Amino acid sequence: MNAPPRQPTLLETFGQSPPKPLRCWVCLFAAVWLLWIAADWTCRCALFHWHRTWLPPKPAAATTTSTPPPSPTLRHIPAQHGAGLTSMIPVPWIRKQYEEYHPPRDEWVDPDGYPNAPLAEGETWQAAVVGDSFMLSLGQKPFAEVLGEIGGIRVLTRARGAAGPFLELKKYVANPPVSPPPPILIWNLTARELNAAFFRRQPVDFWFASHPSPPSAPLPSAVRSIDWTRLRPDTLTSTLPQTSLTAYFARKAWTATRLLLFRTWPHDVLGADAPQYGPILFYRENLRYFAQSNPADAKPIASVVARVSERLRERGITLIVLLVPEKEQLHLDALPPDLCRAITPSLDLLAALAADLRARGIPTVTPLPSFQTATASGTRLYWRDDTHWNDIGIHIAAEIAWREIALLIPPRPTAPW
Amino acid sequence: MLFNSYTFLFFLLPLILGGYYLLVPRRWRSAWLVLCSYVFYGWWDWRFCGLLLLTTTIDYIAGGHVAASAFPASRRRWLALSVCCDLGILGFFKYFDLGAETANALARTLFGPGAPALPLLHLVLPVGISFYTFQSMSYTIDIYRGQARPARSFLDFACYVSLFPQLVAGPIVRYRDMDDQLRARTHTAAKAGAGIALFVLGLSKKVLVADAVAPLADAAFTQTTPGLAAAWPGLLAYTLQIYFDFSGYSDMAVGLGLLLGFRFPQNFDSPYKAVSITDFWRRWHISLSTWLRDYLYIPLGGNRRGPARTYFNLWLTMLLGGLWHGADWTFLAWGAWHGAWLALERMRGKRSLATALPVPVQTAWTFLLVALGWVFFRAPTFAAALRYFAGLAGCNGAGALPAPTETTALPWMALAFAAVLAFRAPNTWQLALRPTWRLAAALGCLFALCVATILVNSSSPFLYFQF
Repeated sequence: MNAPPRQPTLLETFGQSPPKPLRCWVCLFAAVWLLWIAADWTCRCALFHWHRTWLPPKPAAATTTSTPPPSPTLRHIPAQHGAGLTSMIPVPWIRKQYEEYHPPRDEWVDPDGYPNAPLAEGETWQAAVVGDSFMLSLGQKPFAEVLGEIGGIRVLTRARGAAGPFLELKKYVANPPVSPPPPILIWNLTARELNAAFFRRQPVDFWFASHPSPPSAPLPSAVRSIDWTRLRPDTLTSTLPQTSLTAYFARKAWTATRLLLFRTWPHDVLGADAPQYGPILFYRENLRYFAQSNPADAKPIASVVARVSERLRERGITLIVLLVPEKEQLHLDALPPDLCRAITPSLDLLAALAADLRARGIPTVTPLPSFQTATASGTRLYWRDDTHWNDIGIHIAAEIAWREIALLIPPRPTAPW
Repeated sequence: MLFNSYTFLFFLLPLILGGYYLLVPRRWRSAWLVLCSYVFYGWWDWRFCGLLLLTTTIDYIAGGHVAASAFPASRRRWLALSVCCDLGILGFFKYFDLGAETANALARTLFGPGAPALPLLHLVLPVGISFYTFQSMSYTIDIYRGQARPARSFLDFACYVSLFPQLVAGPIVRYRDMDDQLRARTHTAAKAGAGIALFVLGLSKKVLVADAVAPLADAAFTQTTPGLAAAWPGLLAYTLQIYFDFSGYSDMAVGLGLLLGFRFPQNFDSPYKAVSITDFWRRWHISLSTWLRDYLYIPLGGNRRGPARTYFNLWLTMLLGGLWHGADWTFLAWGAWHGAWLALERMRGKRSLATALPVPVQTAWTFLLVALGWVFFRAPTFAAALRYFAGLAGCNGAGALPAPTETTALPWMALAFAAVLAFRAPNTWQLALRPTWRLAAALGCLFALCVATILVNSSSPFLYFQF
């Protein structure tokens, strides 16, 4: 009815080309694209197991014979160069500047996966620590072992990496690992987790009221169907790029490019030159947390901790709170001034929280002042290539913690001679 | 769903093309496209598919009656029904709150603070409603004018309204241009090849240029009192961002259309090379400006009722065109700005005020006027726009250069690259590329780079989706 609209010149030039090579040209393009898509989807299922997020789980095979409970095993951890923070740097020669040597070691692992050596004849657990990765070790010994050596007692570890402040505590009070539970519980609260809103959300009384879950309860039948919510458009839009190998490599390549061309550090890690200690890495996620720190949060956090302490006391357990400072709070002089300013409220929060807890009669261990003194005098307490404290840091923290514990443990009977 | 999203490129598009060429019989291809288009549209919010279907149904029935009726009064009634329903739906979803706020403010001024107030509905604006409403409405109007045949079937018409490449951000296609293509269209290697090339080039414009300069614009426009050093680069960045964003989308739409055998009209023709505002509107969002000319300016009387009425018609058309973009006073101001310059140039015989000067100066002058207009377009409120103008005039002092991201150099490099592309390079419709292996490799690398960039950043929506 009308004259056709103007067409792109490309259509004309493509139209003038011989048809056979043009068909090959289009087919090649389509084939490469389809291969790419197929490879990406294959990796999504083979590597990321995306399909398991929505497919019904396979029914577990029935076990007919009961196996004896496993005992602690000795695990060999090989030596390594670099740790968590260096693994986030995609350029090998830049990564190398920050790597430290972590010597090999043998570590006991109990049946639940925690680093606890078996008890000798007649020994009992006199204290336990619950918390996150700060209670584990990248060096020689975990915190509980060092504490035990200093005090001559056995200390049980119930801590896991990325557990946050509450996960292990919840598990501990719901299913105490030993009966009766040790009379002292050391609870590790890491500085970056100190957020009033987060603490207020925790249903502390519910944890203590709930009963242990029955072992291996069968799954309800409703769970054995496809989880359609995982296939909703909005869920797919967010999950598909997160389970793409293309995305993985693209992000790696972009991070490396930014670091090499623009000297921009990756999203999660920041490299610096500490005046006393040379190259050192910081975890940016911590810095983002600290930017939101507010000393006014001390009171609500302390009231949640006090509730935990009260409930534990009802069970005959004394709670000791260990306030773990983060590396970024100790190396302010290595950080850019704006970040340094942003961290200051988090230091005030730690001090305010310690004072509030002590005022409520809760024994509190605050390694921060000793750490600041040691750091100022040239002792590095944190790994260069990781967010956690090193063997010296663990030792100092354990010594300070022991001073609190010693007040609670009855003195050993001494020989009359 | 966005064209520049992983989900579209690696999930829906292969399904659509695979189904279209390999699975579905030829006679069901339009039905397949309707289904896919509704999935594409419903991906954002499935409930608004009903609205799309309602608009389609009303206009299909009305168009059929307009064509079938022998009585002018009946034809007019069906046309009025169609136009009122379309504008009613658009007005309700897009302009109800603006109207209510204005009426409430007026009532408060006249009757004091105790005056009764209309409730604000805070409705979610359905994506692309302005585009598909105009497109659907033009069908009945064209039939009424005798410029188009009624659709052969409801499926054909539903395919025309919902066709996913141009559903949410144009180009606004007329039914009369699509009629023959809906009845029978050819699928050639030339169309597929050109479609691939246009799609990849459009994707690159959006992902590698528009999104790269966007942080500069965002950093400047989020300042409450931007200084000179932030305001001008920010404005330049937004001016280039909106062009590459929207023209990139249009190129992708045309490319996808070609892949499916359709030919869509050109929407951009290097608009920043224009030598006057009149020339600019021949090159910018061509499908909208011609729609406004044919369905608004000419019915208002066009230039047939004397010079004064012509100027007023021009100004009013642009004012309403501005309002079409969004329910805010800033868009009205943008429309009024362009309308005023168009009227002024019409007084001078469609020539710019800088006609006597060399062409580069005319281009620069036009670019400056257009860029200043974008302040209204980008600023969140009228007051913010005025503050930005104060910044441009130096009232807030020199200030500091915007430093939007940690990789500060990148947006600046992208800005320089975008400026060179906009002023010196031919636009994608002028490219005379031949399908060589070298071109295939270059396009492949460009596509891979775009996908990588999309996956590194989260997909950013197209600016014109909000309209």
